[in-house]
Amino acid sequence: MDQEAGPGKIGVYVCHCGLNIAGTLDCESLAKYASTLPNVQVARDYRYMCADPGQLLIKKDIKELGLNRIVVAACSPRMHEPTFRKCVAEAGLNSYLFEMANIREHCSWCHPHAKDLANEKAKDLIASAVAKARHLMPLEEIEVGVEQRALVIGGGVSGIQAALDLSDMGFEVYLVEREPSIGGRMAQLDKTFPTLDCSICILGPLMVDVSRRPNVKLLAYSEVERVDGYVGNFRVTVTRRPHYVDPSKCNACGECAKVCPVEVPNDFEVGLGWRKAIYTPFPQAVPSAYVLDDRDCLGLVPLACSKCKEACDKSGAQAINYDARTDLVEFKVGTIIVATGYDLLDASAIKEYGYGVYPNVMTCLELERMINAAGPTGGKVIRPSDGEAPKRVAFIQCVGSRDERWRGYCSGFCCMYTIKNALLLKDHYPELEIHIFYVDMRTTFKGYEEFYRRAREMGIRFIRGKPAEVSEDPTTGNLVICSENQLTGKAMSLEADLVVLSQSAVPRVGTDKLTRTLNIMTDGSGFLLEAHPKLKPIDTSTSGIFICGSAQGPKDIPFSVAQGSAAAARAARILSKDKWLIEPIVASVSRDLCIRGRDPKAECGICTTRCAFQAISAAKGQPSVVNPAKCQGCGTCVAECPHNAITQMHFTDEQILSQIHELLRNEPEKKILAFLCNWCSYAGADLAGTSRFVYPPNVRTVRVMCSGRVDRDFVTSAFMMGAGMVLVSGCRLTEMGNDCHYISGNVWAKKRVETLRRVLEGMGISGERLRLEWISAAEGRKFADLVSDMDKKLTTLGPDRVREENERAKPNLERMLRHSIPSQQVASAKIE
Amino acid sequence: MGAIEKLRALTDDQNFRKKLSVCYQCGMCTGGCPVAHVRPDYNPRRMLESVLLGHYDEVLASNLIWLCTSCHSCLERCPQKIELSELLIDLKNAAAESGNIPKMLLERARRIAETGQSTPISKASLVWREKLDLAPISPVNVEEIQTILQATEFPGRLDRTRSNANGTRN
Repeated sequence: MDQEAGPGKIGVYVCHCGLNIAGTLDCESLAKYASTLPNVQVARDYRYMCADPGQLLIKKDIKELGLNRIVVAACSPRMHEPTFRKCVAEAGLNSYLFEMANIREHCSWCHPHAKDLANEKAKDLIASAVAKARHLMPLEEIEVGVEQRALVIGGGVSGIQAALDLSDMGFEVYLVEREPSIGGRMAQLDKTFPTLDCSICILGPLMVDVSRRPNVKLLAYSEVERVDGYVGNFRVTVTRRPHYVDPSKCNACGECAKVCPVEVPNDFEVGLGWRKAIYTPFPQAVPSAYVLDDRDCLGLVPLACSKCKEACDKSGAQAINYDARTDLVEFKVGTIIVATGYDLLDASAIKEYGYGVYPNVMTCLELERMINAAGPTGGKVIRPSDGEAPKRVAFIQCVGSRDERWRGYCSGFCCMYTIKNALLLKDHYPELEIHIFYVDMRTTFKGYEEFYRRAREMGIRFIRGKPAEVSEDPTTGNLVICSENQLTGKAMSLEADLVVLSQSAVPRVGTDKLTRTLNIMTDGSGFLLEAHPKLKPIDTSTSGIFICGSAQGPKDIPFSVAQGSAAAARAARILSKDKWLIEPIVASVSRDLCIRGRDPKAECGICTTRCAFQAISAAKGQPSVVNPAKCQGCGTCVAECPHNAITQMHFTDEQILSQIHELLRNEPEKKILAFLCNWCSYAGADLAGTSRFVYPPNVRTVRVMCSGRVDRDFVTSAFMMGAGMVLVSGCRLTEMGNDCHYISGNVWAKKRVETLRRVLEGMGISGERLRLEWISAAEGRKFADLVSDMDKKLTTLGPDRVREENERAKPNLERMLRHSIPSQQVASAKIE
Repeated sequence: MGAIEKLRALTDDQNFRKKLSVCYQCGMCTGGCPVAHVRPDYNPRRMLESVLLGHYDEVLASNLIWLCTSCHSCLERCPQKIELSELLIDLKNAAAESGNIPKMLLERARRIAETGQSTPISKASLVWREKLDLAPISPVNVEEIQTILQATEFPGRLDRTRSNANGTRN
């Protein structure tokens, strides 16, 4: 569109927002001021710009005055940017030719008592938005094709539910399971709380159903080896371990297992029972065929032992083939759902309870298998030491959970499954004396508290106190639990015949490797990390990959099933379309500026190491290339490129430098220039406004998508222009973890700012004048306090000192800026 | 400064409190405390809670803090990594400085300062040893111990404690 070229004809609209803005700022004078800015064709003020008449005003001006850039000075762009983008698009303008000045959250709401200064600040913010608007370029959303198939990793109840839902919606699904059978943890459980349904009886039909769907390809005994590509277009390689038994021929008669001479502990029975080298994990296993574990088999050659093959051939099935080999399967999918579940912490690591030393100390899952009628004892609960029926059973909660020595988090479901197991025991053995040692009972969903009451009615005793240790009477094998009963306030010892530990749930073995394969993140505890804890609990930071069930954190069955359905729905948003649109604020490498393009021998490649999404590739002797479908738009590579060869669309160097210039035009030595990341720190500053926290009005904010985008040149330019202080702020990065929405942008920001601070100090600029802080979207108070603190420090230094420092550093700053390629050149270089 | 003020000064410090305030009262300390199993009135979990609540009279009641043997079982086991036995040592120091200390312990401190030994070797025990053909006890290097005590300002603190203790009912 011709009208979109050039610096343009800009329209500026100042919103009163009732009295929210107009109560503090003089909107009329702001509009008048805006009309004096270069390229501004028209500037108006209006009571409510977001209301229909306000929007009509813009549309009318676009049509009648031929405006091609729109600036609205109103609330936070996090609030109404989408509204106005839509508005300008409806008037025929590209929606990226719109810019917002945040004069409400960042100005009127937080400086109600300093009206004059607030008005000056609003002028700067408007001038900054107009300057950026002058450099805006029309952008089109990026379209990628979608493979309308999904991959579900993990065949537990959550993964099965996701696969079934996607299959119902008509999508092809690959369901990959590492074990020989699907079913996951739920298949191992006896009953479920709080209804006491038989676990396998309700799960079994789902397992069979998913295996019989024509549009579900079940790959059991398989692992995801490699994943390339991006949303809509993932190329997946799966390794299939050989079964050595052809499932299409095996009729599960079991003749092979009868003759197999090898016995190993049965994983499914958590080691309580035995299985043969050729086996089926449990009677309801799906696929129901037998499998030969080549790690246990004597030899896989007729010379070593071929008893199973002989028996199978004799039965006529002829299903066993010792020559089977590992198979690689490759396919393409549009979305991936990860449902890899959980393991339980190794209880023997927690020495004070003696698991693995005292035979009568067992784990919750061992008890679960023992109560199960199909389990190793046929449903009879016995003491491992002597096979006797216990008369006194004690449960210990929070074994490893809520314990900083092991796992700091609460595993969530242990309180409930312990009550369930205690109730089952009481039901089977009414005379049994049961004590449950707990720290806090957590029974927070529908029907759960009632279940807890039922346990108390049944005479199960709950003792508040975390036992300090368990010791054994070696003559009887009985156990003595040393604890405090807090409700009496007395230390106590309790003797029991059997002790059951509720150890914490931990991420499934191999989760780490899988996250590297998929390029998704884990939280501090090793569980898979969601894109947003509240609003995107199913998404990951990689577009097109979703998580559900206990892989994201310990969860009970209904919650896991609900998340499975949720993941299917999230995936279907993408799968149901032929094309998927990606926001075009991506990075782009200029072929002419990339050193790899200019010098075929150059071994730069810095950008490829900075990208957390593996979106940048650099073929030998070729300039780097960004895959826009994989790029998430943080801009870290842009700031890190030593040759200024990368541009971030809609956040170009030129656009941001022009903003800095406007914000520091008047009295720069008294100002604090703040670069705030969109997701946390900018939102934190918004919250300071919504909370009406008052702070000094000399701060000027620049919005970037990620703190990783804050180029060294931005900071040096700011001091060059005379800035008093500079703040770079991003999502929280602490020992507790990293909240960066782009995985590691803030890590690079930290390195860059800390190095730059040392360099600036060398030039005579006080170190405290460049601050790096982490502010979350919830930390409005912290933002307000930070600005106040910086202002105090700036006042102490005084404008004279600041000017003097800047003046002294100027020649060096100039040299630094000259070394990086002039920004005009960057902007005019051809964008690939 | 009296014992209560001393304790308040110590435990009102925000950094000090921060380390304790993560306690979620699971009772693992008391459950494993060898003293608590024989002295039902001694409860380290409650002691910590009293400190957090500022109930210093409870903390100082009946000289209970002096029952802690510093075996550090609670410290090793605490699921929130609170160094409870270290807190007890701090409490003992604060209490002692204001004279709130059992006379018997004060007497021992004096003996260490003077003889280098907390418990004197009686003549009778020396006779027994000889009868049992045990090797004589090597003499204590009192000078060396006193040098260390001087360097750590022990005598001054002991004097303060003693003069404060004379003013209390102990």
